[in-house]
Amino acid sequence: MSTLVLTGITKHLGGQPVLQNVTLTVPSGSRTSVVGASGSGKSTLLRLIAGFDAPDAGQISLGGAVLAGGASSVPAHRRGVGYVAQDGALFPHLTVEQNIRFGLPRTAQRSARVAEVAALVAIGSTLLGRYPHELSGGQQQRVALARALAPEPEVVLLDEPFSALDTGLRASTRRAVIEALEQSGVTTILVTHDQDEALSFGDQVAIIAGGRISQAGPPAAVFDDPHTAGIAEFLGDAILLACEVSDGAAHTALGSHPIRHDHRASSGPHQALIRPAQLTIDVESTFPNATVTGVQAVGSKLDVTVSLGAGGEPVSIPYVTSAPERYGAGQNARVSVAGGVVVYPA
Amino acid sequence: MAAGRLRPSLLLVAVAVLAVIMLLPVGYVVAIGFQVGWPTLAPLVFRPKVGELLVNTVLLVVLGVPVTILLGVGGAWLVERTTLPGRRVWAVLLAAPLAVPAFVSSYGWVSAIPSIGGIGGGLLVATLAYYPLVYLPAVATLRRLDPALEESARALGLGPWRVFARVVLPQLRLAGWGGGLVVALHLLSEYGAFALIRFDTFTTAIVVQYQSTFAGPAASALGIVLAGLCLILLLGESVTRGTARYSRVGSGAARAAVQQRLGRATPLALAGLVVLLVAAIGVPAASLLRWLSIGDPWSQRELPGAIIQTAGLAATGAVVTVLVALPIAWLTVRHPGRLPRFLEGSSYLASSLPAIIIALGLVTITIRVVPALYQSVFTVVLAYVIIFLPRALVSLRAGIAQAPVSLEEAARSLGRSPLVARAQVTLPLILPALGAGAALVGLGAANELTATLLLAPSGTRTLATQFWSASSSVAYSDAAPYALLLIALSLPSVAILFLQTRKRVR
Repeated sequence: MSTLVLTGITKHLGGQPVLQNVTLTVPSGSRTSVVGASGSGKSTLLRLIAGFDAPDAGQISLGGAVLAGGASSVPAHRRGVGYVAQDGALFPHLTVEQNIRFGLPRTAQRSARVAEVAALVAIGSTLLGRYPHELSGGQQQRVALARALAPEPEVVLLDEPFSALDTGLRASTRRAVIEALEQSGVTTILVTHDQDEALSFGDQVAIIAGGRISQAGPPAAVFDDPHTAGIAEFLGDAILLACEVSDGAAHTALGSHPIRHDHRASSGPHQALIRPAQLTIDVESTFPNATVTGVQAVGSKLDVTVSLGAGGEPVSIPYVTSAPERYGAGQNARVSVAGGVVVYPA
Repeated sequence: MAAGRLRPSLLLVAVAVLAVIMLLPVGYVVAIGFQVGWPTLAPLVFRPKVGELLVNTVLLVVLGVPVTILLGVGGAWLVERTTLPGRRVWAVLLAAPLAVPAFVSSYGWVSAIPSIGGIGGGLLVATLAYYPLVYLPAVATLRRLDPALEESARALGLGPWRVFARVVLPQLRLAGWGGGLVVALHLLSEYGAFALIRFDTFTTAIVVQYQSTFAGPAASALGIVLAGLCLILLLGESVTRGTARYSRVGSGAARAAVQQRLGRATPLALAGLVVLLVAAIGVPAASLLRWLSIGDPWSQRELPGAIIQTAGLAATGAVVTVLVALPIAWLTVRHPGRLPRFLEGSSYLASSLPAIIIALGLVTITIRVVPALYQSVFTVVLAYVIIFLPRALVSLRAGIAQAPVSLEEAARSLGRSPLVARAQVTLPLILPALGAGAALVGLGAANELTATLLLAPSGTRTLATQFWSASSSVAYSDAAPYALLLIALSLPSVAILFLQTRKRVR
């Protein structure tokens, strides 16, 4: 078993706290993504697990054996933890094949294993003799993954492996990588600043902000029930409206909504989370509740700005519609909400 | 910290020790000045002879630097931005004088026109030898300059000459001033070229003083004045460089620039280039060929020995310099910070001072403190390290930067201990830079004259010192083979410099 357990990890760099009391369990064979803005400490977390740095406090253990914490610290090269850096970090003076076999013991059936992992990440045998600079960015990332997987590590760490790739290549490389990880059944941690990437990557998503894990759980559950309004906004387009709660329902300028999850800490002003997918904007309604003040096309979406009621704050709604020409500034519209809301302190 | 990893603090201490060693010689000269005291020094500094030297030296800089800037920037513009016929050939030829050591070029002139001398002769020889130091950075700047800037200026209604004056020239300011200040430092520190035509500057006077009073206070006094002049120039350079940023903003490949049509000015430009190159290369080459054809200079007994001794000293200097540069470059690239930058800057400062001051400091220090090291191989090699360290540093910094620490980490995560990771990944990657740095230092050391003359063990014969003893005793024919070998030794480093300059930034 290779369950990775982090307990109370704290790390300071240059006198500044980078990680504070981080606790996280990654079950054996599962995939966890850690998502946060730059400077949130997510890369430092990976470096501690890989053994490039030591935590100030806390413990890291893998399959019950302590890797770091207390008096003992297993050096990076004896941890059996694979690591794929942001740019792949392929050795420029070695060919693809030499890169992949770099971590294999001399006694191993090296050529067979190289062919095996190359096939796993869809690197054809014609590429094996090339040098890293002769590969595309996506190929480099897949070779880097093959190199990390070759010695059969118990855990693989991926540090923003797709961020250097352009949009089209990113999606296809990500699919190839996830497939390879699934087949090898290795415990994986992915670090990213991309919410969609984090939510689509695996079994668990952990949100990190200011050096602390603010929420962790299955992606669907976390997206459905963000524990704070900040997390809700971080995870995707969010519309937060002032609301009052009574009789088990939330009342906003758009009407009354059932409460899906309640995070009110005390009495006082509250706000309700609505996702754009819950909204419909009807400009032909005979019972308008809003005025359209601006319409801006953003690719496949319309950015519709509406003001709710008299003197209400303008609300910007990313709206997907098949008939964008029907919307224009000055129209009266009825904005309605399907489903429940999540309530937070304002 | 993982075991086996060299702690930055240990490295820092090592580099600090190296920086102190680098600054020791010049520090000693200055310390002696203080020790002797102003009452003793004042009459040595304020005397008619020093006034004359000061006038000569200042005139040399004040007149010579603008001329080199004019020649260098003008030449660069002609080959990079005009329709001049044969631009590629001219581009190479204009850099070629750098391969002729200034004292060899001076020998070419004085052996052709024995009456040459004075400020006129000094200016002629020095500007011809040193204008490439402005030309090369100017070419590099013009190549990196985004043509879109010039095109925008044209689109805004400026004519070609006004575009040059208002857009191109300001961009060349850095290259012009930077190159000019490097030329000024060379003018201050040049010994051989001026001594051959009997033109007195501070540097030649220090050598004369040294030979007559043997590192007495007079030589130290002159050395302090010279070091002061150099420090003023170095300060000037760092101020001009400032925080100005002239590089291309934005990405994408730069396009070829629009070429200015020369039209009827073409014959004039060609004639100017021919005159310049005849003076800079033609005259020294013709003299050299003439002296080579007289008698049988290749059969001198000392020639093979000089080649072997030069190779030995230069190779030792190259290896030691690279070994000294390695920790400094490693620290500044891998552990950047204020203190490492300060230490690196101190090493550069020591290297920027004239070889004569470094040599004088080493002579003084060895005689007074460790007489056993006076005129020993150790001291010559130390001088080479101090003089040529920047060549190795530049090369090594680039090399280490291309071997990022993330590669070592990747190797560690694949089961290599930190030391093995460094040996298997980083070492192969920086090997070319180590080789290039050592080559540049070795080639420079093989041509070094001033410090070698003062510091080498008696009986040492290098190509430069043999050339010197022959040419200064007017045995021009005997000097010719050494001159040819010295030029041959300069060619590779000039070629490397030239190719680096021409590299387009992508």
